[in-house]
Parts: sequence; structure tokens; C-alpha cells
Amino acid sequence: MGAAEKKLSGRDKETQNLSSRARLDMAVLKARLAARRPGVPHSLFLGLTARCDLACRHCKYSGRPGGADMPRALLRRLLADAAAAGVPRVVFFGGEPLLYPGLEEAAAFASRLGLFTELDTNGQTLSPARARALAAAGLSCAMISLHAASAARHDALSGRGSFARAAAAIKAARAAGLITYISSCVFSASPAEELAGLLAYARRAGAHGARLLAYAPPAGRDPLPARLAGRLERLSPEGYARTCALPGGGCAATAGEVLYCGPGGEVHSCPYAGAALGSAVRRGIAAFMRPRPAAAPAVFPCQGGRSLLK
Amino acid sequence: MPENKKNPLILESVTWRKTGDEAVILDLESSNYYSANETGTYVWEQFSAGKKPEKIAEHLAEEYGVAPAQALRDVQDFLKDLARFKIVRPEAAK
Repeated sequence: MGAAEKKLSGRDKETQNLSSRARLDMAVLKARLAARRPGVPHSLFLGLTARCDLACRHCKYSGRPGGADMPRALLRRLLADAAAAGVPRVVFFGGEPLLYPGLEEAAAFASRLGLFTELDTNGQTLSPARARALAAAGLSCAMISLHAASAARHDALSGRGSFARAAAAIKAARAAGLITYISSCVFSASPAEELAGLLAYARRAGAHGARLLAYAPPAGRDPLPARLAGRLERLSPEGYARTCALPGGGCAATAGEVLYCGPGGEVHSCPYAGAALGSAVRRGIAAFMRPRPAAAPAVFPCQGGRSLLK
Repeated sequence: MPENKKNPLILESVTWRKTGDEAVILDLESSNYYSANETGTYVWEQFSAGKKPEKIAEHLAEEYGVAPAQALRDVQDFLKDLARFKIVRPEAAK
């Protein structure tokens, strides 16, 4: 082997309309995704707080007691352990992560560790100044909740005025140079044309992509996640819109592609999985990263199915 | 944040960042990106800071315990590849 060696990592056409910095963020992410060891998730979701400034009708976190925010020492430890394990991306999650004191410091810390940092937010308080501050700190990407293309439909779920504030947040994130996605909950009863309308809205608003989550009823199986994955293949064959259900069955959680750690250090196979896997405070987050069996369970962890992670 | 480019032999459309032991180099014009391993990253960092291939090879030979002539060939090969990928100007590999 030569002393100096290089390898071609790939070509990234989908980011051509982004700022130079965002494109470099994406190239680093893709290089690190390709270099992952088996069992290492592509994303670690960090539930920084259970507090939220909305009370969306469909949200599983709605009405839960606030509890304590994630201690900063635990957050730094999780970020350092994730980077050391080769996890490429962390997602600041809630509750509403914009309510977490020290979010900018956390973004800066994660960015210094080489992690691609995302914010999963309802966008209600993401002003242009806050978006710029987060981008300057090292945040790469904002995923902003938008559940419908019309203010009436969105506000019926999330409260009056929430659509307008989310739309303004998309604009602010874009202007700050952040990679910007809409994040949307899809319901069994949603007509197919509503999904197409949402994606058309996202494109018009300048979002770089859409991340869709099939709403899982509190108990029992629902065919929606697999159906949604199929619909997106037809509506967005180029990958603009994606979901967590995998085309071949199972989901990102059952495949071990994501992990979630809540404010108290409780680890789940994804933010919506019911059963906890254990405590990152006691065992460290790397203890929950290992290769998964090929077979996917019939029921998703968010629908009461057991994760394969245990 | 992107690293500084001090070497004029690196094309203007190129930006890069080091994460851990690895440098990721992106050509904004073509959208091609490359990642270098530990030694490639060492060479790239030194080259980016404006060092000549001979000087880089000297350091490389000391750092990794390879023969100086071999180290120079490795550095030149690396730069030739980068020139082929339109990351550096062709004269960088000479």
C-alpha cells in the first residue's frame, strides 16, 4: 500500500443548489456514511427536552409531563461517544429542541467532533436571527414540521397560526444557509392527493427535501408505513421525499439504522418506539450499537412491535 | 468550517474539511467528492498549506518510516491523481 492513498467517494448532484458550506457538510456526511462499521446507526436522535410550545393533537409526546431537560454533561458524553463510534449524524429532538438552553453550544460541540448536526423542530420560534446563530454555531440542517399544505389543515392539528410560523421558519432556515427539509406526519385517512400537494408546497417553499413519518396508532398494526414507502417511490422517484419504512420491509429502527436517547438517558430504537432498550447513563450509547438480524419484524416498534435491538 | 486553501495550485472550485483522521475534498463545480485516508490526509494538509512535494515527502518518510524515494513517489502519485480529478493544477504533480 502506498503511503498516500485516496479514494473516490462519489458524486453529489442533489446538493447543487445549496451553499458551499452546506454542500461540504453533505459530502462529509456521505463519506462518513459510506465508512460506517456494521451495527453503527446512521443517526442518533437526542431528545434534549420533553417540553414543547405546541400541543399537536396527533403527537405522542403531547400532554406528557415535561420532566427535566437532558443534562449538558450527558449530552456532551453522548455526542463524544457517537463521534468515537463513527455515527455520522446527530438529530437534536424534543419535545421542542429550540427550548433547550445551550442548543447553540451543543451544535458547536457536535460540529467540532465532525458530526453532521440536524435540528428537528416545529419551527415556531425559529426566527431568522436564531437560524443564523445556529448555522454559525455549526448546525447543518433543519427539519421543520409541516403536516399539510394548507394553513387550515395544519392549524387544526397544531394550533392557530402554527402553519404561518412554520412557513416562516422554512424561509429563515433557507436564508441562513441550512439544508432545509419539511418533516411531516402522514395519516391513514389522508387522501393521496394531499400528499402530492404537500410535496408540491415543499418544493415551492424551497425545501431541499421532505421527510415523512407514517402516523402509528397507539396500539395494533397498521399497513400505512409500507404503503407510504410505496407511494413515495411513485411520487418522488428521485428521493426528494423519504420515510423511515424500508422498501424491503421493516424500518430504520428495526434495521438498527437509528437510535434515540431521551432526556434522562433512556435509549429506544427510535424516538417513537414504545419499549426502552436500557440506559445510556449506565451502559453508554455504544453498547446499543451492533449488527441486526436480517429478518424484519411484522410490526413496527412504533406500533407496539418489539425492536430487534434487544 | 472549510479549511483554508493557501496553495494556489489548488483549484478555486475546491473546498475541503478534516474530520477525525480523514479529509473530505469537494469540487463544487463537478460535485465530485473524495475522502483521503490518514496518510493521504497528511499529504493533502501539507500541500494545502503550501509545502512542496519534496518537503512533504521528507516529513512523510520520517513520520511513517518509509524510504525517502518511495515517499516522494507516493506524494507525486497522489498529486497526479488529484490533478486527474481536477482538484489541483497539473503542474502540482511535477
